[in-house]
Amino acid sequence: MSEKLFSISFNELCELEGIESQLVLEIVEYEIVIPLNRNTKDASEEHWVFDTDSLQWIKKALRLRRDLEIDWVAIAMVIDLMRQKEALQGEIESYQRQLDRFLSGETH
Amino acid sequence: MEFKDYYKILGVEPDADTKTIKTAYRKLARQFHPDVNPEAGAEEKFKEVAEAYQVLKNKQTRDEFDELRKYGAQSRQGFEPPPGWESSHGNANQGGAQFEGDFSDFFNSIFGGRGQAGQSSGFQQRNARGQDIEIELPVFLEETLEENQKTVEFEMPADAFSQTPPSKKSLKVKIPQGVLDGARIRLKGQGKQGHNGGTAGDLYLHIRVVPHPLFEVSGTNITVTVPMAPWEAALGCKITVPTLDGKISLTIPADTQSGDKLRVKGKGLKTKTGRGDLYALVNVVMPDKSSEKAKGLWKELAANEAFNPRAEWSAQS
Repeated sequence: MSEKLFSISFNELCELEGIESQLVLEIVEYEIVIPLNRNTKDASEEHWVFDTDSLQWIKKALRLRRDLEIDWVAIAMVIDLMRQKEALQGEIESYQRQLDRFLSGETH
Repeated sequence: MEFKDYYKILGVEPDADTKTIKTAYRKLARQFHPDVNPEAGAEEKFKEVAEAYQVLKNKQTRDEFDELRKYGAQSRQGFEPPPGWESSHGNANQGGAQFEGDFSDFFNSIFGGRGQAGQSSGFQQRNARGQDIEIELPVFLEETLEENQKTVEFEMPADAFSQTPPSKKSLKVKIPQGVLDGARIRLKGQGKQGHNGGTAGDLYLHIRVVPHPLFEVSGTNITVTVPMAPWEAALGCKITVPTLDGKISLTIPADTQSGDKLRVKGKGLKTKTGRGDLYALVNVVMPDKSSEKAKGLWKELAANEAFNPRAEWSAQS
């Protein structure tokens, strides 16, 4: 059984995923993703650890930057809105299911 | 092979200036970018648009394309580059344009050899590490209460480099207790194999907690809707309520409203830091049909009760 993880380190992002370290620094600077341990004592860059969810947002940010030729501020905004949209969509679906149960009074 | 008219793809005139081309690209890119537009076909459309822009934004490649376009527009039965055609800047190292991305056969036939990954995108082409793979893993709500071993079956995509066809893979994974919807579990080295000594990619399991027929999740709390007869809500009662781990008995106080929420501590989802709560959401339901006897009782109630559920309306009018 292989190692099971919920995080990815700064070095892994750069070395395994082939993402330039400078870009990771910029993405963090604009708080598009935030390292899990940013506020702890050993929070120098090479010790940064990201949750596994961050990887997809980093990749998205890089693609948007490359393909749409927009700056980090705009990318940060787009990604914030995407996250909000995802959360809202989940909430709507949940409320819809609750409403359906409520209106039908069904128990099974 | 089909001739691709990059001007048409971007919706610009063949004599459009660079600024117009850029504007047209940006507009289409915003509209079809697969990270923004989840619709089917958007990704294909975006690739086409990106390819057109790659060629037309650069003077050298645009000139080359213009030359071919005169030739290609005439041939009705599929396009082939003219005999002896060779992109005059066929090597990226000679200062020609660099391309990055996934290009059509048409593109590769004219600018082939330059479709290499560039450096400006942020993704560096390293020594052929295998690709990461992400798959969705449905998990039942009950399964999150304990650590659970699951067999994950997925398709390993075909590999063009080693000419490996797609293959089925099966993997046993322990899903940790308290995993929440949307979490991603990273399994090191279980992605696509690498080449030339490159390591294998990672496999990401994207956890999707299957909507439960009874329970709705919100964070670590869950809600169950409890249908109740009007007299049960009025008089109070004891009812049996399902939870994720067995049934419990719940005391409903008198004068309970439809929509009231009763909290049962510690019957929600389990996480490392503790356990969420269960909420019983009261839903007062009328019987489908009232018997003669019931009608009589309702009538008696109506005659003796001054309750006006629309008091707010009369206060306003």
